[in-house]
Amino acid sequence: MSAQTQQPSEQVRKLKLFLEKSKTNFYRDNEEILNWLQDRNLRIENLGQFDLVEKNQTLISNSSVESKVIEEFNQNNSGEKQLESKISAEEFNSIFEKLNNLLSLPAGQLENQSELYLEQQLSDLLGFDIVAELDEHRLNHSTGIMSSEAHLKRSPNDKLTNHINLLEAGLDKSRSAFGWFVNHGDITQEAEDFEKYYFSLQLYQLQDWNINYKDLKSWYKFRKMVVINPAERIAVVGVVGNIDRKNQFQQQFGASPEIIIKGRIWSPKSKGKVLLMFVDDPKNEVPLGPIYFDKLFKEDR
Amino acid sequence: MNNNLINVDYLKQVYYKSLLPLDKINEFLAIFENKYADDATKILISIMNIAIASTLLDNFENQEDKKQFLRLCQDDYHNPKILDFLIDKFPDSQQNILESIERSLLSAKKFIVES
Repeated sequence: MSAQTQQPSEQVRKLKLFLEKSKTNFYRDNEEILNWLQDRNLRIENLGQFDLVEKNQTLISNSSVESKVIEEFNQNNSGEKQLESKISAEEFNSIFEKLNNLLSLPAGQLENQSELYLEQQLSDLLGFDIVAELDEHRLNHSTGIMSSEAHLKRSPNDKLTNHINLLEAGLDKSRSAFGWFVNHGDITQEAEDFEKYYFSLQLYQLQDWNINYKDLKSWYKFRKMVVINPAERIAVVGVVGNIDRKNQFQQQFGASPEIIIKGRIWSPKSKGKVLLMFVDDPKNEVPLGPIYFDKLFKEDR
Repeated sequence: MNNNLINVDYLKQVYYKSLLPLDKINEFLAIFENKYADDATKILISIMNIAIASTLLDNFENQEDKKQFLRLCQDDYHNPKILDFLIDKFPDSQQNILESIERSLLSAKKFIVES
């Protein structure tokens, strides 16, 4: 088959992949109503009079993905079955107990042994690799207090009301230190997600910032990271979306209103204490958004 | 050159049909060969359903409102009264839906071109 004849089906395949990505993000972001949707056998993507799987016997019906949103989650949870066999409830609890204890210490970097232990255990739990140091880059702090930041302007014309959610957080007067979030002038879904789940870091305090700021800025821009809130057992994957100019010592990290709320960062139990690590995701497969550890662990028990 | 690739029958099945930017949808479908336009339309509607629902669900302050919206969707997804319900809850709903659709088209196109 020539490349020309392959191209159209390849485009449909990519469109289907995009749908898959959208579904994963949707059900992850709306996990609190997932069970309710399952009970009613309600599939958002299939609403309407036609069913992608039942009525289409061509390209779409060859894939089970279109009709299997809930199944997709069960598939995702197959990794959790492995997790169950790999980690006992006692071990599971001890990971968070250890992390809680470490976070009660002053903000800073973890000592080597704890860092290795947590990198391995949390990577196993999450199903993707997280590290304190990536490509020889390391923050001054892995643990610390995370403050809530305002929404960021994604484009020059962006307004607070465009952000839809958590308007009480306000809109930062300045654009991000990394520039606008737009892509060729358009606010794409990716740009929207970047702003929704962004971290603000004190990069100006990095030791080699003054001599190497161009490379550092480029490397950190939209770098994927994960915040772990052990008190609530929630992780939120986001990207580095801004540089904290305040250089304050009481709070080491900042994050978007969505990360603070969905990660329950400032719940009475958490009080802002978090672990922040890099996500080693060279293929860009880890979606942004919250992850609930208890659900990961208990789902298949 | 593709002229009009939209199979309107599919687009009639959604409550937000009056808001659909048909010219932009047609432009998007032009990426695909004619024989795949129907398949692409169906997938695109699924993508728009998800994007719109995601935006709207973020708007609701409580679970009961979310569920009420989803019940309406499940019962009669093509009924424009769902739009009335949304506007009643949030006057900006139409704008939110329109923006969600346009973002979906842009993001999907970017994904296809760049991935």
